[in-house]
Amino acid sequence: MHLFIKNMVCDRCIMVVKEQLHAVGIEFKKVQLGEVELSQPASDEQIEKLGANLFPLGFELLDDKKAAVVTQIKSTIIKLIHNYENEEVNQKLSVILSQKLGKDYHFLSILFSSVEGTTIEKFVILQRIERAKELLMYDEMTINEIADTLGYSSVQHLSQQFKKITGLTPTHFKKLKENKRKPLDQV
Amino acid sequence: MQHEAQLFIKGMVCQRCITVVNSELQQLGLIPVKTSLGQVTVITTVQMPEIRVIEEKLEPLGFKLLEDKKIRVVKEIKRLVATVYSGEYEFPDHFRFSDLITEAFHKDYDKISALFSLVEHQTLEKYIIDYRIEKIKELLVYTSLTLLDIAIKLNYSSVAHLSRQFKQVTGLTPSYFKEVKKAKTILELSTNLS
Repeated sequence: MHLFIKNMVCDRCIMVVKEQLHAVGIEFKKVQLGEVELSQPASDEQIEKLGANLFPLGFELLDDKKAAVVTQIKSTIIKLIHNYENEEVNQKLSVILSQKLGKDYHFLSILFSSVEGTTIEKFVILQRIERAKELLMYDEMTINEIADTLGYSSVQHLSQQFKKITGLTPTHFKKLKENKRKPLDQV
Repeated sequence: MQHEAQLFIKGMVCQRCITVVNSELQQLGLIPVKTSLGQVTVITTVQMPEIRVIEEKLEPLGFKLLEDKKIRVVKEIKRLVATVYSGEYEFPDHFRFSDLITEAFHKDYDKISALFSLVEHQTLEKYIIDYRIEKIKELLVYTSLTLLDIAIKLNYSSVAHLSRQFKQVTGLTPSYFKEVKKAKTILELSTNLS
């Protein structure tokens, strides 16, 4: 049995979800971003309690099939862009998504748009810009290197897209004292 | 006494990260007053724990502490000084440290030097002189190199130049320094033996 949880974006989220599973006594095999694999079916009561516990932490337990698929799509994209798995990716995103979810990309794309009101492509761009913000703040790489890491063809391309989304140039963003980053689940 | 510090943390991406970081810091006796993604302001009434302690606390959770860029640059400068004046460095003709700096950092020497003074409260030139003098002391005591050899190894134009600088910084001539050290070592040896 699988549970689908919305808004998980990093290893700490996994840690927190695991704690909550323990707290309500649900046994699990594996917890991934957005998805929990249970070792044995949990009772309705337990699941309801888990949902109630997760909500104040900013998570949401999903019972809707569509929403579950959307969450899986988002988790896959977040893992790719924020480089949690450290593997070189040369494939197109559409191929990766349809392979991971076992469904046609066209189907996924329409489903995503109908639930989220925005396209997968747009979501990818937003995530990438958020990653760019993170890397800019660390001040360890030049803009050139960041563009390269994130797979932009050139610095201009990154700058243009960055400005379009945030209204600021990367250089200007770097100079801002106030923190302008968003939590990944609110992108 | 209340201490305040800014921590820059790498790897924070969501609300849960903020919660986790806050609770870890509290375990160290630090009170987070303002936590945003990547940046925490903490206060504490007790002694600030060492950076290493905070690092060890956060690392298992997948976070990393970011060093301030200025401090990072200063560390690199010091490393460069250590390599050049290690005694093993092959000095090219017309060697200038400033050329080496501009080459390594791709920035004007003025800027780098200003940054060094800002962080260290000592000019880079003075730091280099002190470093070379310490090296001379080391070579005088632990090796049998002559002053001429040492002058060449550390890129002084002449023995006179070396001696003058040594006296200026330490107040002693190199040879006097060597004799005093030797006498001291012998004295220590004989007291140890008797």
